[in-house]
Amino acid sequence: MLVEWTLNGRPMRSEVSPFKKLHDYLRADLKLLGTNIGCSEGKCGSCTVWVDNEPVNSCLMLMGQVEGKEITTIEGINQKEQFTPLQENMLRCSAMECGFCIPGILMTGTALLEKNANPNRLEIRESLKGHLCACMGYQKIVDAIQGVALTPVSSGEARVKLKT
Amino acid sequence: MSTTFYNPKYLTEAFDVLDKHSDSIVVCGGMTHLLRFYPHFPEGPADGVDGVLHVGDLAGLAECKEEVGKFSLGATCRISDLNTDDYLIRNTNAIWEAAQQTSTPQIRNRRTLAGELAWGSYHSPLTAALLAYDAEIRIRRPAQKEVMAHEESFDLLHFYDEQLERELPHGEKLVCRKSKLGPRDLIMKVSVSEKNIKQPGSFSFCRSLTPKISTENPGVVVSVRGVISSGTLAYAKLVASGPWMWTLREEIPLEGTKAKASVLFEKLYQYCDRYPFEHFRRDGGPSAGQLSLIVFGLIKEGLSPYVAN
Repeated sequence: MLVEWTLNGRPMRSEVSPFKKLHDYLRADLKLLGTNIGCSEGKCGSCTVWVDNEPVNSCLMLMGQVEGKEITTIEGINQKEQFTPLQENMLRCSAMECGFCIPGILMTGTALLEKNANPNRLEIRESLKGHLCACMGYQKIVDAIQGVALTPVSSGEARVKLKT
Repeated sequence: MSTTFYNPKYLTEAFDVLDKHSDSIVVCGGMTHLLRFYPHFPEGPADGVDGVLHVGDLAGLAECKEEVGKFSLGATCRISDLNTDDYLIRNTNAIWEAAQQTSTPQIRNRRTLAGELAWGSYHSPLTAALLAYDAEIRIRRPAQKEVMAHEESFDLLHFYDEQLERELPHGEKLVCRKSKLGPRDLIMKVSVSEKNIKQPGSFSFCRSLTPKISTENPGVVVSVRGVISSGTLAYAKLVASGPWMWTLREEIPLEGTKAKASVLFEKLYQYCDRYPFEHFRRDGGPSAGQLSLIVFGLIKEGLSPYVAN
């Protein structure tokens, strides 16, 4: 089947089986290895990509469904070859342990921050509901996402938005 | 035999495929259930699938809109669409809350309303909330020998008739509601009557209890729709279900009870305590007594904001 879609801003025409899973195609055929394969059943979130700017599990999507869609992978969110504010903050907060879940979390975290520039911790935790971090580094991950939206709290000062 | 993937853009094309194809076609929208439980789809769900009709991108089947005397939810609207729809946020708290409690944000961005209903999980918050609103489902039956294609509407509760055991690839069995969907039937929309939504003093909520770390399997789901008028409970309908129990949809017989915490919750406790939960299917899980306490706790939590102290 010929699938016409957009990947990281580039128009694509792919001759592929419609039953091939999106994450398999990204990794095996296009060698975009940032999208990790964890559970392959929508539980761990490590394969999260954006479909029309919404985070989805690429393990639960077939290539046949990708027709006409705009897909963004972790390789597509920092095309200027520099870290995004969230990636920088992940480093600053030491939010990465083994790093396996991080590409998926970055996709979800970035999507959240684009929709809501100042999410509270509950909203961040709710958005991360579909991600499993086997190293249990959730606290620092939440800190990192919140850190992009807020400057550090100093005594007596209100939190100010860093990014508008 | 190879399996054909149909990805129509217009409803008429989809109807054409359904009318002309054999019964061995699978209709799917988001596919989050099918790919999750049957990783080798299309070989997984049944042998001999020779066509897959993807209706997830069909124009006109994903709209949520007000119609005459009712509010309609399109079959292929995503769960995340229900979560952000202004009308639902303002008027049908239970449906909005249920959409928010469904699975994970990533799955909500793909899963369709029809897929959630067709799969028939006992622990689906959205099904419970729609049942509390006495929602109606509209299905298109395909053309067959000497029968023209036609559409039928019926109460969502009557959409399910018995129990279905799904055998999962790793040997586990999953018990779901069995729907009345035929092989080439297509869910068109679900609608809720406006008189159930816009009654003065009406309230609704959806609560679920998750027994373990799981985003997909709340143990017990409770949804209530009711009316509080002049400080008394005028009407309340309860829907409760879960993997350990059948779907229960009944009116809570507390009409005329003061909407005051001490009075209402005492009577509610007595109602739940006397409810014969031992008649429900029991494959492990909590005892009847524990179930009644869980149901009471969830209703109490949901009702609290609407009841005076």
